[in-house]
Amino acid sequence: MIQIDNLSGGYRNQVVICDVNLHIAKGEFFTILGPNGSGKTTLLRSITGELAPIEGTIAINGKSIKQMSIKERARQIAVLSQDYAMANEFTVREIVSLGRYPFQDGLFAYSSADDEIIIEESMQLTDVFKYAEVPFSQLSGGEKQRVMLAKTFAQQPQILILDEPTNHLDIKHTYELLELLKEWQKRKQVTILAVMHDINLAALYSDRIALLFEGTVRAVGDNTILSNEDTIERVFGVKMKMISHPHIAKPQMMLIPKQNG
Amino acid sequence: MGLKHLREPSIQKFTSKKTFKISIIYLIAIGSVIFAGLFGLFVSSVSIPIQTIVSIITHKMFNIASLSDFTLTEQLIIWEIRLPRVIIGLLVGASLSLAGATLQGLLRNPLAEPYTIGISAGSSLGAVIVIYFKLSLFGLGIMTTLPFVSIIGALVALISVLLITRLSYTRLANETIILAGIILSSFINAIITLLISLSSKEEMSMILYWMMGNLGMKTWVHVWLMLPFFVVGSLILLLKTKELNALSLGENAASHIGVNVKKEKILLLLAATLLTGSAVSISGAIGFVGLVIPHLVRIVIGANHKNLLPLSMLIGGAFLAFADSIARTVIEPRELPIGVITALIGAPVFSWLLVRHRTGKRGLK
Repeated sequence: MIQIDNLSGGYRNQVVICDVNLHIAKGEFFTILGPNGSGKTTLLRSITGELAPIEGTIAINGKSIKQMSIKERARQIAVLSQDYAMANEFTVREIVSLGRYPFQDGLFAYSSADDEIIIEESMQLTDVFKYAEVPFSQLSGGEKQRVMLAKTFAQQPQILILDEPTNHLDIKHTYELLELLKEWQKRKQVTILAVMHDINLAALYSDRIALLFEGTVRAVGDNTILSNEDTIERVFGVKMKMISHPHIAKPQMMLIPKQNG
Repeated sequence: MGLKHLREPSIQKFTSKKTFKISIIYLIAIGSVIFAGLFGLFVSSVSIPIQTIVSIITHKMFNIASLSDFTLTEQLIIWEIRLPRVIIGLLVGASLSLAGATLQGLLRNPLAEPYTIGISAGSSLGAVIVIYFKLSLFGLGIMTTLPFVSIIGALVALISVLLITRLSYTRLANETIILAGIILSSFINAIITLLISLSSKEEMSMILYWMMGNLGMKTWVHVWLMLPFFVVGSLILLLKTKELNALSLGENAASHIGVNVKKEKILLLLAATLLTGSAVSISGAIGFVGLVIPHLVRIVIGANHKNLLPLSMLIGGAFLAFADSIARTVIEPRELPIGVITALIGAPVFSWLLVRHRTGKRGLK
């Protein structure tokens, strides 16, 4: 699905990520973990095509993203980030409708009846249909994030990129968002590529994980790579203790405070 | 949450109710354009009955109705003096308010308008240069040369703003565009003041009169000069409402749904510049229309540019044509500069809207 070969990327005169090789399969929930400044955002922006690679290639279904137009990319890749400032005076429906933009070609193209159905389904799926005509500014943080998710659903992407999607959410909204994403991934066979900060959440929801440190990939694999306490300490710079989740076969990492009590 | 596949039956009713509301607003807007137009043709020192006005215009346009019932003076006043002036008023108002609505959405800044990003200043400088140096290109005369040089001034200002922005930052950041616009405006205004202080008394009064904004002495030539820019500029913008909606969500979000941000941004800025440049070149700098009208329309209809842009055009045109009728009749036979009227009405209305909007927001949270 996503094939990244020998990718180096960064800005003007600063290489941020170096020689990254990742192959992400269709329908996979793939998470990139790493400390601040490890190059996670640079990697994501290279995949969305916002940042041209310095070296190496990124291909989607065998086609290099360099050869795709911006619209063509948006028909395959949707992005959910936490950036939704100033959308305040739009209604929820208007925002979700924007997800159909890459499918509307030509000067006079406005939403077709099919588009309307997809837009309404996306709103129902994320439970924001009841707010369809409500201004975005009147929603809570969790609801706003669900509206943005509805917009990405309306894009009907094969690949969904999540840029720290649960950053501003409380535990209930985090749980609901990830459950919904997981369900959607399974049902539609969508490939999800996420950047996360929370190691334990990543362990619970990801199919595979890559550990990024100082711009290079240090480990790739299923969540058992998190059980290696030495690797974790080297990447994140803190000592953590691995325990098994009491109900399911997933590792969870525990911090050890210096002062005990 | 979870997956729901219920389709609530109420939605159909709700949508049609909303469509109904929007249709009514469009009708009101079109009605106010017609009202402002007729009002402008009607009020004046010489009173001519409405039927006569309508007959003369329908005759001239479609060659129906007989002219023999009306005096030549009546025909002249309506067709050669009042009608071009009303049309210019509608076009200038529509241009400024459309440009303002676009810039506010594009730059995601409520204070953005043709003045804040330096386009108006560039256009004014072009006009002042023509008057000061008595430029007359291709033997056209000063008053006909002025609009061309003025539009060039607007384009040069836009390019300078984009260059300053580009040099200071790799991408065309919104805040930098506005900052560069303000810097450029004050620089250009200094040059204009310099030219004014160097000019003779006669030139000085001509420049000041022009700068105050004025729709007087407009003929069909001005209408034809402005029309092509108006048509091209507004067509581009009206066809780009989806892109504007996307860009209002932020540039990253827009590029994630497939908008070519840089290309669209430059195209939109260029169209707004054409509109502003041609408007300012014909009528001088008229404040408040580009800032206030889009905000007013947005409060009523929301931020969706699909409706915001056409309605801003209609309301802006009607407002300016109406304000002009007031400006030329309130202290008859003398005229007030139209900028005085727009600011005298605009500033209080805008303050009221601002207060109401802010308190309203707090109430909702």
